[in-house]
Amino acid sequence: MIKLEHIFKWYNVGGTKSFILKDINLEIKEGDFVSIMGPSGSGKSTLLNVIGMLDEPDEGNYFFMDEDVLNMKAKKRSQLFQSHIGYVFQSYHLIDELTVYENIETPLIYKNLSSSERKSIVSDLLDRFNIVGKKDLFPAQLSGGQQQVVGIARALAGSPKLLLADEPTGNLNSKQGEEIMELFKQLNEDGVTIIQVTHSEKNAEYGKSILNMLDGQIK
Amino acid sequence: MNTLKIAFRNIRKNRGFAIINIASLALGITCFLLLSAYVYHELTYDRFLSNSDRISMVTSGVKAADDEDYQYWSVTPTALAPEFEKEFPEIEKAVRMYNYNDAALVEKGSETIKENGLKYVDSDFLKVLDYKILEGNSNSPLANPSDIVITEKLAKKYFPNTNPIGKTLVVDNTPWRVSAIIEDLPTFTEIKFTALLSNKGLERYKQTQWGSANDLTFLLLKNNIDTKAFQSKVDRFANEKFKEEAKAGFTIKFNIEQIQDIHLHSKAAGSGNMTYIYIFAFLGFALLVISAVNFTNLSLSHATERAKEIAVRKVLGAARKLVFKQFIREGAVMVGLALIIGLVSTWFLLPIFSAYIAVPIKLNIWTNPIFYISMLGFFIILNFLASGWPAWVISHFKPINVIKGQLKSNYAKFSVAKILITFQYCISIFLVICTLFAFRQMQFIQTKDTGLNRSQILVLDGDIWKNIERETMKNELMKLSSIKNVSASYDSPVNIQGGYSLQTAEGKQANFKMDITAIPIERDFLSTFDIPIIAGENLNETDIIKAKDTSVNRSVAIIINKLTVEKIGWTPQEAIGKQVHINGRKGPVKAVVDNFNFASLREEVRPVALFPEYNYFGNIFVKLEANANSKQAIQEIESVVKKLKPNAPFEYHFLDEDYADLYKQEQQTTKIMQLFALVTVSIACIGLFAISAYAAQQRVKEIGIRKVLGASVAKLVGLLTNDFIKLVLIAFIITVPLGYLAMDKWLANFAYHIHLEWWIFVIAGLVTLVISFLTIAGQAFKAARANPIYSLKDE
Repeated sequence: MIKLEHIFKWYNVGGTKSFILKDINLEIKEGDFVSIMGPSGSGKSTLLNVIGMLDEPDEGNYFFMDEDVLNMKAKKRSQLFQSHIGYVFQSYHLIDELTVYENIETPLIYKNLSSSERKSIVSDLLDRFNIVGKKDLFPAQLSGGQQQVVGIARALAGSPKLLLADEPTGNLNSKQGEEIMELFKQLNEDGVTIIQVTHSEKNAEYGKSILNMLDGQIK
Repeated sequence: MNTLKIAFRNIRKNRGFAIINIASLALGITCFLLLSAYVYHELTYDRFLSNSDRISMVTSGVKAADDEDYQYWSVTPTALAPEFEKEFPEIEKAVRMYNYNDAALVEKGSETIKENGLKYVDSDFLKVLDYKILEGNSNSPLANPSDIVITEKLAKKYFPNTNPIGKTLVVDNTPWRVSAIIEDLPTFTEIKFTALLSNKGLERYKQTQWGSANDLTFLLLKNNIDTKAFQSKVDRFANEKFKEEAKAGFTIKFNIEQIQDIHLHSKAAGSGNMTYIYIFAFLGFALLVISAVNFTNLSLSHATERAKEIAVRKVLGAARKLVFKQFIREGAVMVGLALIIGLVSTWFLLPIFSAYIAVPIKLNIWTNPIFYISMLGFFIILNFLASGWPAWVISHFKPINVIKGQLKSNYAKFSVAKILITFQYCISIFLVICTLFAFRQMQFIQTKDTGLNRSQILVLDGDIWKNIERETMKNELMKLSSIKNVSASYDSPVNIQGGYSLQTAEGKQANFKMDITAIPIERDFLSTFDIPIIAGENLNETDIIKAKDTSVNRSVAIIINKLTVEKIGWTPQEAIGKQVHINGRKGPVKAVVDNFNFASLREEVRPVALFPEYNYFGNIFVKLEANANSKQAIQEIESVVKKLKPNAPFEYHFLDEDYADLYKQEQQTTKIMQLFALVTVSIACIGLFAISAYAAQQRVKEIGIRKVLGASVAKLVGLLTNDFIKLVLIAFIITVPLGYLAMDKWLANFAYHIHLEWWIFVIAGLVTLVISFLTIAGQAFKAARANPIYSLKDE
């Protein structure tokens, strides 16, 4: 599903290159659950952003479902992104002004689905994550764990094949974190490919494989 | 001093922001000062006379039985001043002013120069209107019949290197002795002249009368007069005096008007208009408020960028008061700079502005200490208005939130900011609407067929030509191939003023009498102006020979317009040959012409009579051939004129200019409107730009999230601009009815005007909308294109 070949990314600092990603070669198959670990500044998030098509490397090749992402037109890429990738953030990034229901609905609006289609998808998700009773609440009225559940539901609204999560439990207590991880495990069993960045060894264990990064390289 | 240094350092650091902020405030201040200068100029009319609160002008009003309103005149009968002075103890002194011939020829060596500001006045004239006497006899400079008082300007013109006092000035071959020199008149006066001549020798004052009105009358009232009581005494006097006229249905009244109110309030003699003064005062104030609001908006939007600095200061122990003070000082530096720039640019722009609106504004306020004190007050108020609020908001930031990156002031969603923006847009759209309508009306005036062909007509001074001379000139001119026609008349056909009355004892309505405007004309008048004849015939040589007859029983061929015929109750064909009387002129109706506008389009066409009378012609008209090269034609005309009158100055203008002069006030107003509509829209756009930039900043995170969720750039631009476009639409909805009412009222000033077409409103709205969208779209586009990974960073 994902194939990275000789990926480099760097900053120019006073004429010398400071590498964030250094010769990354990686293949992730459909149905995988990968945890990326490493200290701060090791390049985990950047790698995730490159995979998530939000950031571009300075060198290398990236194939997503056998398509050359880096030599693709921006429009095609965003289409690919819209239909296959969902994002989950450490600090949830829900839109404060929208209700739980509307937050989950937003990506569907951008996919130009009709309101009845949207309604059925959002209802399914609310059901699946047990948050039907909270659909009219605003993010500020929810606990961190609940907010993250909404964040995941929203990421799944477009039924993506790949879920990217940047420290999804970083702002949660251990019990809430565990629940989210259980949720991820469940999703993976249902066929969603997951790549998560995490600091916690325990959470990393939920993945089928663990990548350790240091100074922009995979160990 | 230290904080001032920091303030300057901060301004330098954020140059772009500071320039926009200072420039927009300076622009507002400049506009405010320019408009204030104009308003001040209009309000100070004739207040420079030291007795101005005691000086009044007597004006007259005449109303016929079937008139709706009075017709107001600035002139009064010769008998009024002396009789009033005797009759009313309230009057200390009453004096008269009478026009000298419009085109006096004054000798300067071998040259003769045309002067048109000469007036005959009573000997005590300068005791009432106390112009400053610079040199000469300051007690009674007009006591002798040959005394002339001239202004400084005239003195310099005719006596460049000598003291003029006691010297002789020859006017139309008559010697006058210069007895005094007075200061030049300011631009803000309704009583304009260049020289005052003693009226002692004039026949017309030997036997004063009430029958005709040609003099301006000024009164010097005693202190503490009850003006209302005085006016009603005057009313009673007039009723008594014009008892006979009242029986015939005419009401005549005299109004006592304070001299300083003449310009803006007098219907009889005022050339200004109080409504416009209100509009401009409002406009100036609105522009100032708008730019101060912008300053606030810009400062606030910028403040979030500096939130970190403030937080650090606070964490380091700065009290809220200290932060407040720092921002007030920074604001003060910017407001101060804006004020200085505003003052300097006003200084430079005033002459240009003055030329642009064709009002000669000259202010000597720069030397007035009150001006500087008021500027200081202005500075303090503006500083608190414009930077007080931002300083307050900024000083209330909670440092812990700021450092955590959770700064979330609700200012962008703040209804006050939105109300202010909406208010700015209301004013902008209102001005755009007014500008468009005024422009259309002016265009309509220019292009309307008034029934009289004004094109290619040159106007020469008529009063220096005797009949014979003029006819020689006409014959000479008619030989030229570039000239189609030559004629003459008493006053300008675009503005005929003579008030007469028409009587007839013939036809259905015997003893018919009506008010009529009339004008003595030369033979070829109708053909020169292409005025169509409906019935009867044009004047011929026989009519002219009769017209030149001066005996009492002469018969005058009379031409009247269609409306006159309708009012009498004849058909045009019936009218031909009927005997009519016009103020002593008797004769048959020779022709009936189609109605044409002989006054401004503010007024409906009224009955008019034209008759040949070779007595005085103020204007000579030369109609050029349509295909003639006007420059060459003018040279040919000049050589003919110079050949016949080598000493006379050759002066000419086009009739179109006379026509345009009728709408000077409207032209001026339209020009000011256009200029300030542009400025207001620009300032409002700067404000919108600021607030939308601020809003985009506040929503950076939300935009990032939406982008990650798959929103396209176009969708995000829509999201960001939507809110503000809505404000513009709200402003539009509020403004349209106001604009409709205002324009309806303004257009009602014109008897002939354009309709309030709906599409003009739509255009005004669209123009504003498009400009606003372009203003904020750039910002929104930038925000929408930004990579979300930066705004969504979790650290």
